[in-house]
Amino acid sequence: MPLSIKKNLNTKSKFHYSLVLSCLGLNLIVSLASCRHYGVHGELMKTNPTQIVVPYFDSLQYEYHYTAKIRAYDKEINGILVVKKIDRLHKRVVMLSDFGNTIFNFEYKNDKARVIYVMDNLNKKIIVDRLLLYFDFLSRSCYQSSRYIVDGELKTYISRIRNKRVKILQKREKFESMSLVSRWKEKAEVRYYANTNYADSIVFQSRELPINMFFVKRDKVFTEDQ
Amino acid sequence: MWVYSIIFIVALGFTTNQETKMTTAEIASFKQLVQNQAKSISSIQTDFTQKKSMAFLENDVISKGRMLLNAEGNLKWQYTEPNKYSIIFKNDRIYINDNGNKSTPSVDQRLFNKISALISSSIKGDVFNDAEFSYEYFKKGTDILVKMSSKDKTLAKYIQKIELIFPKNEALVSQVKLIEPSGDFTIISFTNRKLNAVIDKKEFEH
Repeated sequence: MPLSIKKNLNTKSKFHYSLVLSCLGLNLIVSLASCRHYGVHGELMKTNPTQIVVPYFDSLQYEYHYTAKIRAYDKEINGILVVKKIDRLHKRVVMLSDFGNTIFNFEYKNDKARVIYVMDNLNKKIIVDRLLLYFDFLSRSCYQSSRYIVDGELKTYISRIRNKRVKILQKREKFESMSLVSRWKEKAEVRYYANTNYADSIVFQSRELPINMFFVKRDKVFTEDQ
Repeated sequence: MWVYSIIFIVALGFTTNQETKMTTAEIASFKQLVQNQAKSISSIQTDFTQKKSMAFLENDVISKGRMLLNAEGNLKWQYTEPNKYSIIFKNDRIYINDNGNKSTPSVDQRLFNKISALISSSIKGDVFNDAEFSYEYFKKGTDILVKMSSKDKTLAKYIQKIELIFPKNEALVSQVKLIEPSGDFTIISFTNRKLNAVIDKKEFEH
């Protein structure tokens, strides 16, 4: 409340104003203490920096091809997603239209992202930043972590990607799911449906923006002689 | 002697793949052949193989399917491998059928309509008078190669060049190559063509 307004309050109102402020402050302290990590319950443990491996998109030089459907706001983009991990800290993520022309082409190297190409009508900073983050998140396979939360057989590692917090859930030491979170709420979630380390399908859901993405493994990879 | 043999083989290969510019008379004759054929075509059904090549990929991204073009100019791209999926271009709208899930995307319809119109007119060969392109005509082995360069700046951001291959004495395109400004390209090859066969209207229903 601005100072000029506060000066005009009578004594009773001043008391109510102070009470409201105290309650808000108390609420904030309680929130800070209880929401150290959004939605994670259990005992926080510290460890030496450990590498957490998400098994998908982890094979070096392998080319992963998915049929992609992206729903963003009221728009829909269909096409083909190609991900290639060139070395441990270097990968390419490309989205193609059905006719094969490039929608976007990103390179991630040593934790830095580079836009090689993005279609004109997507080439707005806010959209490109989100795409860079979301596609890095869903295709990254290595995370560093020195903190985890244990709750029975569940273990949640806390890590970071592009300065954003990531929560990696393991059950009996096996990867379960992964979320992009802030202190206060979940920003995005990715789920992999898989029998092998090449996921059959991937569902990405943003919780901060109306964006959903679905990816289905392209059944066959043709060779030149076919 | 074997040195001469190698030189001969290399020279032969070089000659067959060499592009030589067509003369004005040859171009006029070729265009006449193609345009006469285009006028007689009311519908096309063809199988296609689409290969996307990118510099960083070892394997092309390959899709296969069939394409239908009817007398009203409606176009259907029916992908059958690796996933079943179809796109219908009808009355300047795009309709998608993804394994029974039907939708009408609102993103970039103009661009995809343009690409579709280019491909369909390329297949028919009715493509040489588009003011958005400049044209060059070459003989390449026994084939004729037509190189189209985008003059329109907006289109050139997506497709810089289109190359069409017409087999010897044929007025129909057997291959379309779409080249992006980065140099990455998509090749669409057509096989098993049927001309002027009746196409069921249901093929274009959504």
